[in-house]
Amino acid sequence: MIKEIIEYLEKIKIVNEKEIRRKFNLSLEEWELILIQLKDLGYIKEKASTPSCKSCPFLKSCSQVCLISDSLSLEPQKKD
Amino acid sequence: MEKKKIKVALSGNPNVGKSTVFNLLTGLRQHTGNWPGKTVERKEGIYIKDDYILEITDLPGTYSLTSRSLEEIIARDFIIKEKPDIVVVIADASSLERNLYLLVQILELHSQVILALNMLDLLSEKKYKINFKKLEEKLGIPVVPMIASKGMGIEELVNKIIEVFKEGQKSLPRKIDYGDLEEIIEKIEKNLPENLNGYNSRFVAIKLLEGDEIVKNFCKEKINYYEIKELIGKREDTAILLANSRYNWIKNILIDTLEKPRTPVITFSDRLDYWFTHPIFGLPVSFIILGLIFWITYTLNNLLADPWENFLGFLQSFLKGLLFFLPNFLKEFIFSGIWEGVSILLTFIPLIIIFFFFLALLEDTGYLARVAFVTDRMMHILGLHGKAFLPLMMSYGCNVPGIMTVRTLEEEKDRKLLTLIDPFIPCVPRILVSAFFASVFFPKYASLVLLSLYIISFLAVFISGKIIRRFLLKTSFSPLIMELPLYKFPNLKVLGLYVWEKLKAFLQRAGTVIVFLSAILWILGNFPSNNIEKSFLASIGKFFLPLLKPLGFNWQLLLGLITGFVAKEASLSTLSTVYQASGENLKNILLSEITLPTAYSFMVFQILYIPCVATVATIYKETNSKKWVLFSVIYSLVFAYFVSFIIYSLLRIIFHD
Repeated sequence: MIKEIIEYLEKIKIVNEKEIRRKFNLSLEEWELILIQLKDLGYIKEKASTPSCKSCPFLKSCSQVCLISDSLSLEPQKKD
Repeated sequence: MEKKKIKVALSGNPNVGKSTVFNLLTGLRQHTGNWPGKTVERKEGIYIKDDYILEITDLPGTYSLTSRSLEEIIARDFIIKEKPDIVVVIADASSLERNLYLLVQILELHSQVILALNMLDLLSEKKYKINFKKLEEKLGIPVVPMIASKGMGIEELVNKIIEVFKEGQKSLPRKIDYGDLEEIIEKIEKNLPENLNGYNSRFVAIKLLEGDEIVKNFCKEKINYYEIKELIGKREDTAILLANSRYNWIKNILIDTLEKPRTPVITFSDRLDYWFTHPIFGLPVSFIILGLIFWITYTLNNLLADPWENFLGFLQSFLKGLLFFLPNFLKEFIFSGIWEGVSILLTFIPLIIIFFFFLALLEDTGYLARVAFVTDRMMHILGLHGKAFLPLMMSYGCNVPGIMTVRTLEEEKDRKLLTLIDPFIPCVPRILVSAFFASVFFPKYASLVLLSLYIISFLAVFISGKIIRRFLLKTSFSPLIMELPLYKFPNLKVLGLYVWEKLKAFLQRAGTVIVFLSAILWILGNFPSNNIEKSFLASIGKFFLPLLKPLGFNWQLLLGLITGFVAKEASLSTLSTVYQASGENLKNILLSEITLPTAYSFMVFQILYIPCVATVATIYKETNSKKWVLFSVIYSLVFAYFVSFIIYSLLRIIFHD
């Protein structure tokens, strides 16, 4: 499953969680597990905020829904 | 009789109620400190029951036991080096998949493990059911159901700890079979030294296959790592295969132990997302919504433009009245120089307020994330991210709010790239100047000429995007997983604060630059004499004319381009001033002085060359770098020059000019 998801992400470039869950028939809990595994494999990193957000006085009141989107990007893997 | 000590480690994911269990067990018999040499809190305490003292250590909350975080290293080092008698894995019963993932890794390190299934109340809320007995059988370890927040299951957990300590595990914990990799694991184990500082060889072998830096460095110190490296390198995808095996192991464990409702609940957000993120309808829907917003923005702006300009006119008269005592040249400098620049800045206020209100609305309701999502694939063709769509669209109206929206992109390189190519999108004033020239020189084909300019600007964005990304801001696209937020009603306070912040930032930073540049241009245009033809500005135009001769420009057109830097529409008023004509007269003069290739070359140049001063100031504000501003200005000038030169040369051949 992990391999298929990595291949799918590399092919499709951008995907929302609902879409990927629907495509692979994953429950929320299964998706959470896959995210942790992808993170452990070093494939994804979390992007909590942008540099401009850090200086934003509304950071605390911001809905943080887009400007600080909860996006995870697939990282290229380093070879030993 | 001396009491027997049982060393217990509490392990678990963050937020599973581990601290609650620890506090309930140890009460006041606990102390906190830091892990040696680390800033992570270490909590220890004791619990006494009958002949036993439970020495309990609360390990940091982790999702796994890799070496990617300090907490993970501390948790795994404790289990390896301090060898607790029992490891209790506290798990959120309502999210078993990720909790079992940690359990799997702990079982690779330790065999005396108890699974405490906490938060059973959440389980029933989700309508999930767990067959505890079966789960216990399949895992091969004791399972204790509990609701720690209500104190339920604590006593049972203590009894189970003592029982396992006294009698040992009734069965062997079920461990993962890594299939094809088992052979490699075995071979690596054989190559490992005997003394592994407390690590077991299987764990070390698995971690080596995963590329664990700590274990790798530890092995490199002890043995000839080359042979192991060869074994690891036999398959490139070992880490993924290990992850797959763990995933399948967890799925297998839960297949007949966890029961979930067959039909997942479809929320309001799900229903909206069906249309908003639909592969076919999503994009047209976003075009309609954004188109509507741009239409409302510019319609409202146009409605407000006249009263706002009247107000600014009134303000100017009022200030003039206040400053009546100043000498004439100073009044001229303030009101024709500085005020002209300031009033240009102030004319943007309604546009910025209206646009950013709608942008904040889209963002606060959760729709903006969907726009980025549906436009992403299209924008990749341009070498950009989906979030670049909005700034580019906005710039067709005005580059200032367009560039201000660039900050919605996460990556700094993406923001810089977009800031550099965004000015190639022709704003309304630039199109107005071009429309005037098109109506004069190509009256029958004016709309086609304008369309060709849009195509040229689009190509400029495309080519520049590719060039800059390839040679300057070398980045490759990272695939993106987006968590689309739930839709919600916007909060007016948040919208108001957002708009105010944008407006304030624009006025503060762009304002200072505009005032400065307007003053400079006024001085250059009015000295040494009041006649613009004999001014420094005209001299500069004439000085640089040889450079622009290959594009067919005369010094008057060049002057129009220079003043167009303050405001694009100023190009026309400058031409009107230097030719001392307006309306039909100006048209006739232009027709007699300028050829068709020159006119088209001028239109192309003024569409692509340096953006107006307000845009440049905004670029500075967003990049906070003079170097990037300078690069943006020079790049657009050079790009505009070459494109205009090629077009002018081609047209001269076609028109035999």
